[in-house]
Amino acid sequence: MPFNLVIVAALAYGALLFTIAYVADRQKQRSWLGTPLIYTLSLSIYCTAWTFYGAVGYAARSGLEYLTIYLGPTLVMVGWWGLLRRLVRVGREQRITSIADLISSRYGKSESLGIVVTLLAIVGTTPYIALQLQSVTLSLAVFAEARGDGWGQMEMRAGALWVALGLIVFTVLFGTRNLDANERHHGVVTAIAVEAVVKLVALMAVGVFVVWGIGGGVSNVLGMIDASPLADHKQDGGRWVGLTVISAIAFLTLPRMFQVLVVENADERHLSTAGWAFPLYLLGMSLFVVPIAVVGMATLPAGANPDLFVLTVPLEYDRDGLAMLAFLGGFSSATSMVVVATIALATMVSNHIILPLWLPTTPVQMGTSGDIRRLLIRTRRLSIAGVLGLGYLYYRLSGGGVALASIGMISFTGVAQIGPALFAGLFWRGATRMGALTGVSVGFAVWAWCLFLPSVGEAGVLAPGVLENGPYGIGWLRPEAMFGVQGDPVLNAMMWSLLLNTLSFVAVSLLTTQNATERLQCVQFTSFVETPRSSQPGIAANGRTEDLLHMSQRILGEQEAQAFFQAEAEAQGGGNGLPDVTPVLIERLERLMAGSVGAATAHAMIWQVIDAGNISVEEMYAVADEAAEIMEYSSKLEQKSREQERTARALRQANEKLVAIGQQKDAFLSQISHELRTPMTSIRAFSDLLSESDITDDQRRRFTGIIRDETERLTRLLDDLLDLSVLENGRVTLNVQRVVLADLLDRAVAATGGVVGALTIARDRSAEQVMLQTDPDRLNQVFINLITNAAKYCDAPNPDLTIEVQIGHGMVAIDFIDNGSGIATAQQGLIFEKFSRLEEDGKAGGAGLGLAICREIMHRLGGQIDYLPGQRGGAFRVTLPVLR
Amino acid sequence: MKQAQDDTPTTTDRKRARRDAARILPGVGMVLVCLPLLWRTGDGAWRMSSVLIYVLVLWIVLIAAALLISRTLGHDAGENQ
Repeated sequence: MPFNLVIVAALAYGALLFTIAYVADRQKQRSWLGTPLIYTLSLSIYCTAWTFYGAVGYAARSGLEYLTIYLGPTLVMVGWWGLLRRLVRVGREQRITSIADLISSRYGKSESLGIVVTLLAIVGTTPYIALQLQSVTLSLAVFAEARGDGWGQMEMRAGALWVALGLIVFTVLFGTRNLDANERHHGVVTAIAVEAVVKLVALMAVGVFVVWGIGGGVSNVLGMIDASPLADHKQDGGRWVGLTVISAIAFLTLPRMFQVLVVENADERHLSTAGWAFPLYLLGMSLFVVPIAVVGMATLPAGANPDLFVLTVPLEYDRDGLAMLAFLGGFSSATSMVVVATIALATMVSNHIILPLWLPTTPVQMGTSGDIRRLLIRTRRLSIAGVLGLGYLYYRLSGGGVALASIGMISFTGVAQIGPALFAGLFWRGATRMGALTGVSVGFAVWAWCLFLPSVGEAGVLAPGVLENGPYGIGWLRPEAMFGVQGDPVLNAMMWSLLLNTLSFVAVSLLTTQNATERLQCVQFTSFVETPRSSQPGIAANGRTEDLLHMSQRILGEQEAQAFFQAEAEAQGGGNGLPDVTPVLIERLERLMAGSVGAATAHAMIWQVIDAGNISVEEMYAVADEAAEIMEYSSKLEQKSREQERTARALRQANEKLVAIGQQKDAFLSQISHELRTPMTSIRAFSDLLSESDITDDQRRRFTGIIRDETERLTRLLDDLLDLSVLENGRVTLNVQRVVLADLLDRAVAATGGVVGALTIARDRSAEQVMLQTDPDRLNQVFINLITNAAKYCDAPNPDLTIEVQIGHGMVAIDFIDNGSGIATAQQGLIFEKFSRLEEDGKAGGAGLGLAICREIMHRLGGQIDYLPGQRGGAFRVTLPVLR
Repeated sequence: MKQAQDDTPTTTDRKRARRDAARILPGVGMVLVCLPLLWRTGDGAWRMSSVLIYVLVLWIVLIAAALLISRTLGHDAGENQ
């Protein structure tokens, strides 16, 4: 087949793909684009030229071990419900743009982690890109050899360079025409789906030709397999398990796989289809690998490169068409991988390395509309060229003679170092930024030392002798036998890198604490809820909307930014004009911008505008809100219990009062019986004496006198009791008149004339000319009582009573002050109580109800009666309102 | 997870069982993938063709199980959107 025809076919195929991508991007109605089928086919970029050519070579060298590379992802995919669904959900919710963005976002939007993961991804992907260059170059060499001029070292290098240049142009045209929000590339994804079909059909066509065209049917081929040298391969158990695990991890952490799995995912439900359909695709790709290897080894001359059997077997049998299809299949595998991988890496480089470096040098408030956008697109184009350039460099350094499979394994182990940080990020709340940074860095270093450097070491990167004797002769640091563990270097490197990575990650995570942003992000990533979460907790913002609009225009472009702000203003109910800066607005804008520049950068830029990056305290408040709520609730509970305590105390007091009242009642009853009993006893005694015959008239008169006195006393007591009861129950009717105080006192003094005896009463009649509106009889009763009391109880040798009258504040105060010894302080509180006679014998015959009645009367008359302490003798004050 | 109104406890249980099956499928698959390592015959080698057939059949079984799970859980995955 003419070599030029192959070149033309490759170019035509590239042009076709470009047209497909262009049409798909222009398609307004994208219904057929976002289907589970396209999603599943786009995952096929897992199968690169390593699969297409390398799997057969791998099988020819190591038997069935190649299957592990496809069984790992199969297990991940069939278990989509547990892990992938979570990963995709988080990716969509947080508008994640790359694996570096995911790790950086999870660990507090850390810029340093973003840089480390990006570097690791670049270095880890470089061998993989070199592998694609090598395989396309080798396949071209096959056709060149068929033409008759075998390629030497120089031609191979030139060929690889041309392939690299072609791929740069192709990818730049493909991947950076627009800066899609959320980094979705509809056109690229569609073209990749087409390539997926091409490579599957090509490999299966070769397989069918080999099994039925050459091998003579399935059972024949099975016999050939058992008879071939492959059957003698002794499978190492450690490698089998290790490679399955490492390919499962790499399936998730390879930048290009993350791009199609998470970033380009249009709908979470597509996972449920891809969960079985992608393993089926992998099965189809692996099905004919062993037959092709066995038949190739049997039919081709010894020494033929098994990595190229897919191409050389059809050529050997002069099936030019089939060979061309196989070439295009391999070309598809290589180009789709390179396109997606470089787009993913370029996004990471521009978002996590270039922008953070550029940002501090240029204030965000300055600059023109769309300038960051242009900067991003330029850096992405340069990054694509850079990544492919590195791939070419690796190809040159590694000498281009290594088996494809071993190059692929170096890449897998490299990117798998992101795995621990990724999985812990989704499931372990305690994982910290420092832990992730340490783990990834340690894994990166160990991998680079044990696997990456030795793979290019022969070209002079490592000092001679290091591989054999270790650095400076330190034997236990030998790259391929760390700590003296002999055996398979790849397996050793895998084990040591992942083990030390995980151990240091866990240890540092346990020793360090998360800052506020980390804590918030951690909750968003680890708390997997079945329903979409509400917005982030409120963050106080004091930025100006104009600044935010200006800045977002530079990244999103004028139209999209203004459309966003317009929509936000309408959502806030403001209609035209700019929206207010609310936490919701900031959160949405941050997510939108994260779709273009990554979460860490978007976060940094927005906070630079709204509050000079001083965020941790504010966000700490948001975290503290929850705690505050709990505290408020508990203080409410406390308050309630205090109220209950108060109520209980009031109840207790009421109960004590009731008990006291009951006791008073009992005391009153026993007192009253005693008071009634005393006169009754004497009346009966003297009645008995009267009924006797031998008494004189004189005696009879005396006895009847006593009986009359006792009866009077009894009547008085009953009157008092009745009076008191009427007063206490409030059933008394007052006969209110206008009277002059002096007249009342005159009447009272006159009424007591018989009883006062030696008592002299001093009055100031001029002060007594006060007009009162009151019941004169009742008030007189009080005065009489007080004068009588003074006459009864004043113990001075020449008793006297002074009546003083004072007016003030609308009240008149009438004081009755005698010159006796007064009442002891302890008893002053008791004198107004019923039956509170101070002396036991009741010498004036009172029952101790007088002052109690006085108090009740004064209460009814709107005044009061008090004992005045501190006077020269006993003193009572009667207070009354004055008539105005 | 929102359940439909007419869900009886039995259907809820069944759904939970399916979800659990979806979670343990990869673990079971890993064990079965490693099973051929124990098959060493007298001379310590695998019988190549039978291991190949075993792996291919296992692969198909895993795909079928995933298909079954997707059929029953696919709607649940979407209902959260």
